[in-house]
Amino acid sequence: MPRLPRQPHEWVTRGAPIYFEFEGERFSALAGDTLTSALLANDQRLLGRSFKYHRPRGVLSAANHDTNVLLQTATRLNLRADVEPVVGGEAYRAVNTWGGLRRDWGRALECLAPILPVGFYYKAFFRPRWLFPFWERLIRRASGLGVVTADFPRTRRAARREFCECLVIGAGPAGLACARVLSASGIRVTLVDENVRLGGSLTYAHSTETDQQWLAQATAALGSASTLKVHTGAFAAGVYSDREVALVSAEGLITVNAGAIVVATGAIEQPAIFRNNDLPGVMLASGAQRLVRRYAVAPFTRGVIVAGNLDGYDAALELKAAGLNIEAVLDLEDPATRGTHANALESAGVRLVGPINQLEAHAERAMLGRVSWTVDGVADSLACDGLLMSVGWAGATQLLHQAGARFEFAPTLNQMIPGELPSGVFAAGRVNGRYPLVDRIGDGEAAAREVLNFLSGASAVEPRPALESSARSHPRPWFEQASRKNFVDFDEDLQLHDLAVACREGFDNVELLKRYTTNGMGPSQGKHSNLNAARFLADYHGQTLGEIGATTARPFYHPVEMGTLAGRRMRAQCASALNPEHEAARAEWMEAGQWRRPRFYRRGDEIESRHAEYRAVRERVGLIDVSTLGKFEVVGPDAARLLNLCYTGAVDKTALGMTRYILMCDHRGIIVDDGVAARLSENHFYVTAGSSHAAASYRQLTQIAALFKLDVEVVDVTRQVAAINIAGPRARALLANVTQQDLAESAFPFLGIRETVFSGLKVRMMRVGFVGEVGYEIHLAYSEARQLWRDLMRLGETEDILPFGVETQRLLRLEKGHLIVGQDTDGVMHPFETPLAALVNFKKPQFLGKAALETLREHAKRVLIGFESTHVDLAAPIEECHLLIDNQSVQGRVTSVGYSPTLNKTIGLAVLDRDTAARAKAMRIRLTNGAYADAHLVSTPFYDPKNARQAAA
Amino acid sequence: MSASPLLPCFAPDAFRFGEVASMTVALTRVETAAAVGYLADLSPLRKKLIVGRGCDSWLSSNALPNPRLMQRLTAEGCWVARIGAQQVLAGGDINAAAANRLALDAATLPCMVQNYDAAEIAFGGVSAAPLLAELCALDLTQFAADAWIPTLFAGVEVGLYREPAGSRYRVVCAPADGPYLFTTLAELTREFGGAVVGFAEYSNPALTGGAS
Repeated sequence: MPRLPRQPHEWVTRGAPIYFEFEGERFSALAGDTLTSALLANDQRLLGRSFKYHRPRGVLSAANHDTNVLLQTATRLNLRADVEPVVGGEAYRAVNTWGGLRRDWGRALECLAPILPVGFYYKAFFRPRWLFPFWERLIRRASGLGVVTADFPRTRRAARREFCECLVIGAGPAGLACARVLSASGIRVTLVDENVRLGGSLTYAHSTETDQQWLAQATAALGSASTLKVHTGAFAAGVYSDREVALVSAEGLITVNAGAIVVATGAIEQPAIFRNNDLPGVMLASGAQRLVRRYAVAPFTRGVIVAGNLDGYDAALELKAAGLNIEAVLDLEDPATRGTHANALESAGVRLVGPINQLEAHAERAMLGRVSWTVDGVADSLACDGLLMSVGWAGATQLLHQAGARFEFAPTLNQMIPGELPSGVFAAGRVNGRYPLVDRIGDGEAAAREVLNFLSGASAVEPRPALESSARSHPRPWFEQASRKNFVDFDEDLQLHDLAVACREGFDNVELLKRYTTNGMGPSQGKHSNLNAARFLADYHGQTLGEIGATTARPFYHPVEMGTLAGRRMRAQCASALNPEHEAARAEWMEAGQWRRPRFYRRGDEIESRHAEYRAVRERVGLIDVSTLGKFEVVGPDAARLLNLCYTGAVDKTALGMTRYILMCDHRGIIVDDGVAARLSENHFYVTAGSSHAAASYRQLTQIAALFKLDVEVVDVTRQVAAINIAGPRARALLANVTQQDLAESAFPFLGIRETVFSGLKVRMMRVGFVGEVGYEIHLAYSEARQLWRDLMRLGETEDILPFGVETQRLLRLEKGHLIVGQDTDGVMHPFETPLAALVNFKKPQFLGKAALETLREHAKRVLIGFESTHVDLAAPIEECHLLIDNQSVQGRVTSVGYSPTLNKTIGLAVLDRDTAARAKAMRIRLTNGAYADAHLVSTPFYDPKNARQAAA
Repeated sequence: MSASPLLPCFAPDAFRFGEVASMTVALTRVETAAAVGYLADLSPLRKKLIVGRGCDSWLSSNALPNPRLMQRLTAEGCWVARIGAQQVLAGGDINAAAANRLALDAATLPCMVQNYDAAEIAFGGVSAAPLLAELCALDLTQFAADAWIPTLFAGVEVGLYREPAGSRYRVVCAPADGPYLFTTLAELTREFGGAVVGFAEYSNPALTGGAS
C-alpha cells in the first residue's frame, strides 16, 4: 500500500526516511509516523496476534482504543503501536507470539475454541483438585503479553504536580472551545489531549474548509493565551477525589489538582459484530480516516464500508476524495433513507447495498480477502482488502464514571449520556451527546461558562445545545451466526456466542456478565466491547439499554506502566550526624526504620568484631551512636501533668536534675513505648522514646495535650539532636578529662541529668545503665556531634576505646535483662506480663490505659522470663521466635537470645505461659533444623543482678 | 567546631570548604560552569527556637515583629516565623549582625529559648519550578508572599518559604533529614540544568539573582 500524496493537514514530515526493524525485517518510516502507520505504509497488515487464540490481527482504531497491535523492543514492552512514534534503528516485534508473528504456532489453540466455552476456567479446573497446580502452571505460562526481562534498563521517570483552576480533558472542538473561553477569562487552564496535535476529530473525520479555519483560529488563540498550559501526547488516566487527575505522558506522571474539570473526551467508534470481524483489513472507519488524514497512508486498495449511520457515508465520501477505492457501502438500513449522502456516493460510483441482514468477512492467507452479505435472503459478495465499520459511537465516559457521574439513556441517540455530575465536573461535546460541530463548540463554550460560575461560587447552569433527533448509533449492530468467530471483545477473543451462553446461564446483570465472560477486562478495558455487550444483554432480556445500564469504569483509562506510577522511587531516609565516622570505622549497616545504624564495626570476621566490642564495654570503655532515640522537649506549666497522663509512672515526682524510666501503654493497656523523662526545670522535661516509636509517641503526647487543653508545648527534636552513649568501667575517668562537670557519684548520681559544657560543646548528660556498666548518654546539637565523637575516640585511645554497634548493645542489655519494646513485647503484652509492673502507678487519678490495666493486672496469662542454655552451636543456634516446648506442647517463644561471653552460655528472654513458668524449671527449645536444645528458666538480670557495677565504678 | 549537616553531600574534590559562623561548609566550587539554577547549603545561618507562652514577650523584648501562625516576617537582618501556637522560629540572614540579636536568652520569661540546629537549603532559578513540581504537593500560588509553609518536600517535613524576588526558595528541615533531601534536590537540580553552589557563591547576583 503506497504512501498517499501529501494530505492537507498530515502529521508526517516528508523528508529523509527513518529505518526500523519489525519481526526481523527492515522498514522505512517518515518522521511523525506511528508504528501502525509506518507498518501499513510498508504493506504490513498482519501486525499482531490475539491474546487467547493467537488469531491474526491488524489495525482496528489507529487511535489507541484497542490493543490489537502491541509491540516489544529489547527494553520496552507492550508498546501501543497506534500512538507509539517510530524510533530510528529500533527493533520491534509483536508480543504474545510463539515462534514469531507469521509462524506463531499458538494459532493452533483456535482448534480448542469449541471446547473452551465461556466460564471454562470456573467449570473445568476445580475438579479434580489435585490437578489444579498443573493447570495453573500451564495457564500462567500461556498468559501475559509482553515478556519482562531482568535486562531492562532501570529508568526513573518524573512524577510531578501541577495546579490549575480548570483542567480541560480533550482538545477536540468542544475542549478547544471551552479552553478558549476559560483562558480568555484569565483563569489558569490546563488542556490535555492524548494525541500529539490539537483538534480531536477535526484532524481525521469529515470536515469542511470552514471547520478547518475554525480549528486554526482556535489553536492560534490558545497559543497566545498566557494562562493556558497544554499537554499533548498525554492522557488522563484517572480522576480521583478533590478533582485530582493523573495524567500520563512519555515523560512520566503528572498529578493535576484542578479547581474544576471539563471532560471533553469525545466518542469512541464501535465495531459491528459479524463472522471474522477481527481479520486484518477489517477496521473502524474512523481508523481508516486517521491513517489517511494524519499519516497519508492508504490502509487498503479495495474498500467496503459497513454503515449503520450517516458517518459511514461521510467516511466513504472523504476516503473517496482522498483517492481511495471504495467499492460499496453495505448499510444496515435501507440506503434509500440516506438522502443526499446516498445520492452523492452513487454519483461517485459507489455501490449502495441494504438493508443487509447477514454479513461475513472471508480470509485469504489470514487476511481479509472478501466480504459476503445477504439482502432479503439474496447472497452476494465482493473481493476487498479493507472492510470499514461505521455503525455507531460510545461516549468516552470512563473519566466521568471515575469522577462519580451518573448516566442516563438518551433514546434518540441510542447512547448513554451524563446525567448527574459531581460538583466541579462538567462534560462537553460528543461525550455529552452533542455531535454536530456547531453543537460541540456551543457545548464547550457553555461548559466554560458553567466552570466560571462554579469557580465564582455560583451554580448557574448554562443552556446547552439540544440533542440531535436522530441516532448515530445503530441499536443492534451484530449478526448472529452459528459458525461463530464473531468477536465482541478483541482483547479476550470473546464471541457473541459466549455472551449468549452467559445469558442463558442466568447472568442477567451487566456487571456479572462482564466478570463471568471477561468482557471488557482486557487491556483496552472494553472501549469497543462494553456497549455491544450491554446492548446484547438488553436485547436478550427485551429491555432498553437504559434499564440494563453500563459497567463502571475505573482507573486507568489506558494501562499505565508500573515504572510510571513509581516515579523516581524516592525514599526518605534519616542520617545520623555520625554516619561519616561510622563509615570510616568500617561499619556494617542495618536498617532501623528510616535510619541506618551500624550493626557492628568490622575488625576481622563478624564474631571477632562483636566480641571485641563486647569486651571493650565490659572491661574498658565503648561508645555507641544512639541518635535514633526519640527526643522531645516538653515545656509549659502543664508539662508534668501531660507526662503523668501519657506514661504509667508518677513522672511529676521526678526531682529536678533527675531522670525516670517511663512506660507508655495504649488505651488497652498494651505496652507501646518506653524511655526516659528528665526534669530540667519545674516546667521543662526532656523525654526520650524508643527509636521505632518516636513518631507515635510524639503523636500521642500532642494528642493528649490537645484533648485535655493543657498549657504545654511538645517539640520533637529527634532529628535535630544527636546522642552518644559512652559506657564501661573506664567511662567516668575518661569523661572527667573533658568536662568541668563533677562526675562523682554524689554530684552526678545514677539516673541524674546535667546540662553542662563538654569538650567545649553545650550538652545534656544523663547517667544511664542500659548496658549494665557505668554509662553516660550525651545529647547535643546534631552539627556538633562529630566533633564530640572524634574527641572521645581520641581521648579514649589510651583506654583502647571502641565504638560498638547495635548487635553488641542488644547482647549487653540482654545480660542485664532489659527488654526492648516491640522485640520482647508484642501487640498484646501488658506490663503485668513483664518485669515492668512496678512502673504502673495506680495511685494516679488518670493515665492512658489505666482502666484496662486495672483489669489486666489480675489476668496476666503469660510472663516474660529469662532462660539459660548450654547449647552453643553456630550452625544451629537458638534464635528469636523459636518455640519453647514442654510435654510436646508449645508453651512460649524466644524473644531475645544471644551468647554471653561473660557467662559462657546462651541466654535469652522468652514469653511463656504463666502457669508453666511457675511450675517448670526447664524447657526444650525447638531449633530451625528440628532438633531440640535444653534450657533452664532463670530470673533476670543475668549479669550484675545487684547493680554493683554502677556503684563500683 | 561544628559541621553543616549537609557537608557529606559535597564531593571533597569539587568544592572549597571553610567556616561560616563557626560551621564548616562548602564555600565555592572548584570549577564553575554556567547553570540555569542553583542549590546551596545555608545551614550556617543560625536559628533559635522559642517555645512557651512567653514567646510573644520574647519577641517584643527583642523588638522583633510578631507573626501569625504560618507567617514569616523579616526584621533587620533576621526573620521570625510562627511555627506553632506557642512556638516561634527566629533566623539570621546572611549578614552577621542578626546573629547578635538572636543570641539573647529568656531567663526571665516563661519560655524556652534554644539553638535550633537545622539544615537550610536555598534553591532558585529556572530549575526551581520543575523541582517544586516534582517534590512539593502544594500550589504555592495559594499562599501569601510572607507565608511559612510547613509541608512535605520529597517526603521530608520542612518549612518552606519564598524569598522576596524571583523564583527563589528556601527550605528548613531537621539536620538528620538534610542529607537525603539535599542529595535528592541536587540530583534534580542538575537534571534540570542547575548547579550545586557553595555558601559564598550564593550571594553572587549573577548566579542567584541577588540573594540577600
